[in-house]
Amino acid sequence: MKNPKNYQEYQKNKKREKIKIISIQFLILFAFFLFWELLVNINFLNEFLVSKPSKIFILFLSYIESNSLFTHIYVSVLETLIGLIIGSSLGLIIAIGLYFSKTLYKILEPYLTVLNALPKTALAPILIIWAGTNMKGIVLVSVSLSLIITIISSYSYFQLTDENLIKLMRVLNANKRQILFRVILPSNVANILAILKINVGLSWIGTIVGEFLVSKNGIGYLLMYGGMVFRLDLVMMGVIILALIAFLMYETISIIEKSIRFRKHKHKKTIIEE
Amino acid sequence: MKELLSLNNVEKTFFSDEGETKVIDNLSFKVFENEVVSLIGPSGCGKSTILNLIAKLENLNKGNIITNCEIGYMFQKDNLLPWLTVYKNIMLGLEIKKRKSKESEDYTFSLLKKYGLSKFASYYPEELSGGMRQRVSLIRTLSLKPKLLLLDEPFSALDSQTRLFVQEDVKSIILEEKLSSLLVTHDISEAIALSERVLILSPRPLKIKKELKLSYDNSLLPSLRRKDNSFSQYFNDVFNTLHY
Repeated sequence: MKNPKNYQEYQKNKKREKIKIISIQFLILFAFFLFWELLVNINFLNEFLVSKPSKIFILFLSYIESNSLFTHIYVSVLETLIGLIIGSSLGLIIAIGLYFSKTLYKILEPYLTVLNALPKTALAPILIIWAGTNMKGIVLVSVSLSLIITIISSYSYFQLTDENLIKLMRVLNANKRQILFRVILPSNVANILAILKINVGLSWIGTIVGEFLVSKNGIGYLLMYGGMVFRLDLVMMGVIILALIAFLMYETISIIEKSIRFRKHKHKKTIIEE
Repeated sequence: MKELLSLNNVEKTFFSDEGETKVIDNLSFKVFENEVVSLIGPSGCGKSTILNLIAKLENLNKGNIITNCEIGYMFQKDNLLPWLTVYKNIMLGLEIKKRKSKESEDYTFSLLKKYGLSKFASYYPEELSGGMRQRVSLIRTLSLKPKLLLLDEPFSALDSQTRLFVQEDVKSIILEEKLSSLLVTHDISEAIALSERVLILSPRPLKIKKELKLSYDNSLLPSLRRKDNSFSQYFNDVFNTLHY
């Protein structure tokens, strides 16, 4: 960037830079689809294997017309959100419990380590049998993916809380609940949001794997069905929609993150009369 | 003179996998109303442990500690919560102790005004200088109306110039609010500039090597004490006791 002469120019430069980046990002996306279409049309790529954007778009329109696309999206998003919320909040609550009972943590540590190392998708068939071959089963798979890692990472973040602040609270005779809500949780807001961001991806893996195994609806179902009948346009459409929704969910958390970070700077300075 | 704090034959031992370490051995001293007492000793001799014992953060093994008043604790770091405004930070102690009332709030406001911080009440700690943050931290402690202040090397995190200003500040606040204070430090000039009595401590296990009564009037501020001829005499005295 050029060296700005004054603040106005600095802002102008910044805005120009931002527009430049966003336009290039869109350009890359557009070029990707354009080349895909072209390469299929000149028979460089096999349409049977990769389908092509125009066909996917036509399919997309027909799914919108029949309204079934929204059902699929709704089902998958719902399963993922429930999985994300249960997995993250339960994980956080357990981590808080462990933080206040070091003995319990020491007892459970090897089990947590094993459960964390285990590929949770391997458990998916069992979980579905236990919880039922319906939405409950899929949600449980989704929960299983984010739960353990949430416990382990929240716990280690809690451990890193500034000891001096905890000492201050102890000098003030604060009880555990006060220490938790006034120091440990507030000082870990950014960390909890970072965990949540990771959990969005994990919950989606759980949902899609669950839907692969048992489902009548959902994006995972579309992918599975499309693959089985060699409808690659259907699979590609599923993947593109999935990418879009996952991106939107991730961005939502980023926006929450930013709003928390900027809240205090927006805060209006009220001056107490002298 | 009223006795605010008395330690009688206090003993403290720490246990670890490496064995036991006796940190404090048969320690006795008193702090009276309107005096500042300094504990000075080599690093790692267990000075801070004494304050932790008085504040009941740790239990002692033998002896007893008698406190006759509300105690305030001020740390090396300002320990302001970065997500709270200056005002909220100051109210923290009152809120936790469930002593927040119209009266206590008014008192806090009056402290803020008196010590020139009311303009900054809605600022966040990161927007203040190190010296001001330490002052906020002190007002948080004062809002609980303590009679005895425990100061755990409260100036050592500040740069050398700010340190002089904050020492002056703290001493005048102590005088203004008619407080007593127990100051833990390893800085000889700080101990002489601020206190009326200096207790010179030995390395582990901690014992009192020598008690030095300073002849200054207790209202004499640090800057004036530093100009006094006796200052360097006291400095040498403490230095020699510490090291030989």
